[in-house]
Amino acid sequence: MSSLAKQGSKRYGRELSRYPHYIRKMFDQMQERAQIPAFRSEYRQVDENERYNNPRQWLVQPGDTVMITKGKFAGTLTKVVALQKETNRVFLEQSETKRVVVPKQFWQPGQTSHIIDYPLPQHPKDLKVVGTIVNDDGTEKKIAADKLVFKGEYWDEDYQKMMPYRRIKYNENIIIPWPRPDPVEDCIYSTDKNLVNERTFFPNSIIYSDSPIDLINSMRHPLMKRPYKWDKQYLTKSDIKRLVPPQPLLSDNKKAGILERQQIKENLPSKPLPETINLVGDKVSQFLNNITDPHLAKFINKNSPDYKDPKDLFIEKQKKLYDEKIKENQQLNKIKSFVEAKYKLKRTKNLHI
Amino acid sequence: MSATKLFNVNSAEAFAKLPVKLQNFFTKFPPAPIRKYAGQPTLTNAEDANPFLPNKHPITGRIHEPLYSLRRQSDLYKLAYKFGIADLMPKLANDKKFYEDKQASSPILKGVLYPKGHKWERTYEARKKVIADALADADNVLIKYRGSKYKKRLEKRKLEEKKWI
Repeated sequence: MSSLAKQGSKRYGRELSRYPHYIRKMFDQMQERAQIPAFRSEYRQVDENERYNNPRQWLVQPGDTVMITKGKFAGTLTKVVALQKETNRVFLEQSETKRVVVPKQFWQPGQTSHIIDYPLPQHPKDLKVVGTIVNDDGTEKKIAADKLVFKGEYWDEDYQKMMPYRRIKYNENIIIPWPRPDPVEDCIYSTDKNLVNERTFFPNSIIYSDSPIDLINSMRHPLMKRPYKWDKQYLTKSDIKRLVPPQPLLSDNKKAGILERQQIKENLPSKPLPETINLVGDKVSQFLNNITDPHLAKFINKNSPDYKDPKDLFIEKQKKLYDEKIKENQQLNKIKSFVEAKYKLKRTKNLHI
Repeated sequence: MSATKLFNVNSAEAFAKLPVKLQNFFTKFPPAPIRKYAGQPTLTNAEDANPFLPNKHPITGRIHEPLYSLRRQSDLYKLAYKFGIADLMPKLANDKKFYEDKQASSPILKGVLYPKGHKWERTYEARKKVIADALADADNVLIKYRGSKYKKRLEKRKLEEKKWI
């Protein structure tokens, strides 16, 4: 990604609001230094969340007559020309200026010199709004409002929004009306105001929508974008599994099958029939009695049920001997302890005497 | 060395000498004359149901696995063979056989009957014959290229050949 794209992008670019104020100041200074002196603003830019965005905050609007209360022009009456939103300040018709050198490419029509007097914006708190009151005898008198209050609202056709009533504090019956804004001329692309306000849809019910239920699916394929996981509108397999009560693990048919198999197992004979013993035994005895191969005989002996491993037999014998020995020793110990106890008793008796 | 008798057992003792596996099998499934077993899969509840074959359940219609797995079948069969009672066992699936029967029933392979051999083996006799023929005909060839003089020399040499008698 190019650095230019990064600067413009909100996602990858550097967002100043994320940095602490002291770092932000550094960036501001860097930006300021990069500008030519003519465009360096005298006042610091205000953070976006601190900027004024309604007439209550601004106190004045372009076209207002105001009295300057601070600086070289204190006491003069001028008009507000424009609002500078970046610094929360206003441009006035007559105000303090700064001499700047303007490059020729930025010259205004009718400009003849590189050096111009550029007006400095004024903060609204250093201004007093001037209104006119008509006396009883019909003469007009200008008054500057020291403090303003906003009470009540009305729909202003020219501003096309609700505007608060601007009143003078402690004399709230005196309303200083908002100035009329410059009329906006429609261009060829702009939509007619009446057309915008025309109402074309009248719902039949508040509860039921007039649009068909499946309208969203018809407009957009449901799988086109993966929906947010909590927004799912259909039951998945696992949902159905949770909602349906569990089935018994073994069905009746399966149980019957198991019972049948059990019965078959029980019905099988547990002891060999005498006929079987005769039939099989005869054949086996005939076969065994004719054996001459000692290896086969060894195999047969080893596989017979009564075969015992000589190793196991030896271990068993050893264990038996060991057990006998233990028993013998136990007997001896018994005798020994009995004899010792007897002699001990005798000795103690002697001591007492 | 005369052959000594290694065993002397009666029928009951002989049956007791059989391995437990075989005894249990014959207890559950007595051999052929006492109880008969089908050569083909039947119903699971049939009288002659073969424990070595996959049989069909009459109600569910499902085919049950054989009561003895293929491994256990072959184990039992081989044990029975070593005690000389292999012919008492029920028939195995697909006429399966072991040991000599298996060998006898399997056809002799073509490669075993007529081994191909290496090329030098296949052409050995023909090559030897060509050489022998050429040697026998060597004099005629020499006469052809050397002329009648050589023929006479050869005849002379034959006459002058020393003999014992």
